[in-house]
Amino acid sequence: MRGITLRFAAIVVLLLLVTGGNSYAAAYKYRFVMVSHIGSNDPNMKWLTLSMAEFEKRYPDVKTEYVSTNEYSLQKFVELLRQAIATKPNGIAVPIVSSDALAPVLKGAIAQGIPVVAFNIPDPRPQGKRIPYLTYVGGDEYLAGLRLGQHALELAKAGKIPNPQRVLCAIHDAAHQGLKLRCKGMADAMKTINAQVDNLFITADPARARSIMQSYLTKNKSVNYIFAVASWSSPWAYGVAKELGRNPGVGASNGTIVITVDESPVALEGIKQGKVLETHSQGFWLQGYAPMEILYWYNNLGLWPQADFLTGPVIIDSTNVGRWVPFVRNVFGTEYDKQVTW
Amino acid sequence: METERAPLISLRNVNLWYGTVQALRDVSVDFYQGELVGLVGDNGAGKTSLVNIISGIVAPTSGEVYLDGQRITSFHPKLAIDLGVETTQQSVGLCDNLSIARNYFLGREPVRRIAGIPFIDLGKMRKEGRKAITAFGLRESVDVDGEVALLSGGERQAFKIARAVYFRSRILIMDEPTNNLSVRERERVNDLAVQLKDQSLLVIYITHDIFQIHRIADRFIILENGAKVADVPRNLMSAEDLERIIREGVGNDAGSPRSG
Amino acid sequence: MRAPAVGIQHVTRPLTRFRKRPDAAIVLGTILVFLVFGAVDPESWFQFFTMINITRYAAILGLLAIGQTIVILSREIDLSVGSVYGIVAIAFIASEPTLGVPLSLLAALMLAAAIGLLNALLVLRGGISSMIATLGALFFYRGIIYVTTGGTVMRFSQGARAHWLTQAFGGQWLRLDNAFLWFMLIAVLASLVLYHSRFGNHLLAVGGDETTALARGVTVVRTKTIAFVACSLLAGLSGIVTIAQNPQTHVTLGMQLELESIAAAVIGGTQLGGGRGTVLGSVLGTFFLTAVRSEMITLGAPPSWYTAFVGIALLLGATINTVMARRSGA
Repeated sequence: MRGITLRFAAIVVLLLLVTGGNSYAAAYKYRFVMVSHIGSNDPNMKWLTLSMAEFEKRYPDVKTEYVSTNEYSLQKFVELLRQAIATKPNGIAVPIVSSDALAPVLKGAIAQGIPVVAFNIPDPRPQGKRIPYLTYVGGDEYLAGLRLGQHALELAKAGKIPNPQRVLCAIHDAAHQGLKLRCKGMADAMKTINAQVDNLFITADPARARSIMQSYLTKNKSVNYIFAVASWSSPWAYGVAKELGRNPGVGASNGTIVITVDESPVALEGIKQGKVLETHSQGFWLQGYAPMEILYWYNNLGLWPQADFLTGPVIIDSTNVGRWVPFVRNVFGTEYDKQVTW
Repeated sequence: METERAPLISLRNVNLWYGTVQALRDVSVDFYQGELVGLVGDNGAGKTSLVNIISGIVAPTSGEVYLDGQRITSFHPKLAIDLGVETTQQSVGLCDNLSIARNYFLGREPVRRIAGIPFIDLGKMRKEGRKAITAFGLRESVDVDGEVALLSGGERQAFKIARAVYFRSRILIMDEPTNNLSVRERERVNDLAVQLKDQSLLVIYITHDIFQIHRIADRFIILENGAKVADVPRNLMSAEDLERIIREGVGNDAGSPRSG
Repeated sequence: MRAPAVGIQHVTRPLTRFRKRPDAAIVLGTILVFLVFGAVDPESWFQFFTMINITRYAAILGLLAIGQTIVILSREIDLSVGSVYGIVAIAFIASEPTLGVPLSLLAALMLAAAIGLLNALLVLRGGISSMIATLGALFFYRGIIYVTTGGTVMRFSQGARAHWLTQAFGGQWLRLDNAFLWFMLIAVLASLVLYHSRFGNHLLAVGGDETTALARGVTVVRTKTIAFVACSLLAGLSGIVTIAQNPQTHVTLGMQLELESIAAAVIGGTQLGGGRGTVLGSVLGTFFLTAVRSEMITLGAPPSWYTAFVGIALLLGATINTVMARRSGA
């Protein structure tokens, strides 16, 4: 795809500029590559590229590279990873999008002495059976759902929001295990007060998703919490609840509570406008920065963390959203306002 | 044959190439009004290629085509139909998915304007279609709104001829019209061909069946490997001779008569 | 020879005639489904919101299905409609701040027509099968959506939402969505064009037997080009209607709608072999799919089941239609 080539070229040019007049070979001591599933079409890419740029500022002797594809194809991803390994970098950071497909490639790299850090998506198998990467840097999908659920229950107990009767967990991608884990976490939190959580596959198309949610909500009148496991689908959930007269938003005693995920502009602005109760952050910025830091320490001193490095979750609601907005605005720039689809 | 008459269609030095295959070689031939011409030759001799040019389906690679003395420069079935050329081929001419009435007028649907908007005149299409069913001897049980897939082979040919007559065509090309027909149906189709000639249409009749065409045609044009090898009136050649030339090729019969 | 006879009018019984219709099965199927759901689950089935929900999604899918039907009738297929739906809607949003609602609407529809024209060119001049050409278009336009939007679709401004033209597509009239009224209007128009215009007769002929259509003087290339353009325009209109109704959207806009539009047409009795099918069938196929999915959700079917259901309905519909066509001798 042309967009990614351009962006890749831009990054290369940027790196050349950063390294200044020095000769290319002598410009750095280490070179780390992040092979990512987050392509240029995903605005979240900036969390990673910006934090890596920040890392380079701090460590001028390290060169970082970000490679990704906009094609959601496992085959393509493995190909990218192979290419990155062939350049013999001093370290690789990679999401374990499929432990089966990535294991042989990564084991080969580790055998060659290239240290690997998993980020964003871990190998779900237990330690010892999983791919022998140094550590995992990122969030925990289950914990995200659990904490969001627990926080909502605390607020309900304090009488600030209605008690959950029944919860809809709206999933846009039925094949995505991480999304189901978020729902599972929410379900486990809700179990403590015996509130049922229904997983509903709403598909990714907005019109169809709205139609499916409307069918479900029309029948299930006791549902008063909607957990949208992608922040871009939270305005759809809100819109459907509003049309059905279910009083979505924070404040009404008989209203419907909308909960979503990620520190994205649409989630933050939803909270500011009182339409969304809460969202979470998995420290996305750190997921770009920390793997580089770990690879640096490992290369320099042979040091690495002996447990997984969870970068979240932290809950964002009306009490702390004000602190997050400027930070996120800084990452997204002018894109921030465009993404607010309320 | 009165050679003084101006030909209705005239091909001059026509060549046709399909890629690297030459389908027609320097063919020059005239056709006259009120004639039934048998176009004969072995498979791949170029019979269908020749009529495809006349019916506008393909354009000649080189050479000239005249209709009524006017040079034809662009080739499209629609233009040919507008000039009065009708083709009936065994496998072509009827859309199985459409009703008889719709097929009858396909490409020339009558239009009735309602508030200025042109709607096709289904009433007229059905009325005329029904007339054709009766006049051209199709079974009386045939439904003008039924799909043509229900027609027998002979009925299909008769129906196509009926259509040519209705639209006052001047030239009717019949490409193997009697293949797969019963003896009785074959007779019926050949009778129709002769009747059309008598109504002063030009009928170009392609067939493999030499004895059949010899009984009804006024003249034969024999093609071989894309070239015209003979052009003879019926009275100058017996069916047996005709059959022999096609079977053995013209090289073995240098003395065959030619008309010009 | 042209005997002025009054032909003996052959009388076909209405029932036989109905059975011969390509959409006979879906007419019965839809009636059955509505009756059964009404009986099984009267409490939620007869709710106003259930009906609004079904008609709203049916309007969006139905516009696509009508376009798809036109292309399938011409013996081609258009796999790009979902992406066209998305890119046209997003072009409408993206150009509105600079062009204003009327002009951006026009520009978006022109984009739709241009895409249809390009599809037609690839298929008819380029000689690529429509399956491949429009599959390429599906990926290409989705890719363009990603690249141009950077993954997020900007919002449709408040002023634009209130504009009378936006309301004409996205508003309501007598508690009915305008989108649904547009859908009904276009269904009637498309039926008239298909069965009562010269173009329609030519389209059916081209789909049924292209060689014959050509030999009868039908301009095949032009006819198919119009079919592709009409299909793209309807897909674009559907996208615009969606945005006018619900301005919150995403780059996933229209994903897999191409498959649902084909499913709706096929369940409605449109034969992929071309030349046979009706707009009514596709409209009912749309209602059938939408209603059954909605009812499956309200009855609490497992969340991923309706994807499988679309497949089952498609196979079942195609089988029933084929069997009925064979038995009626069509």
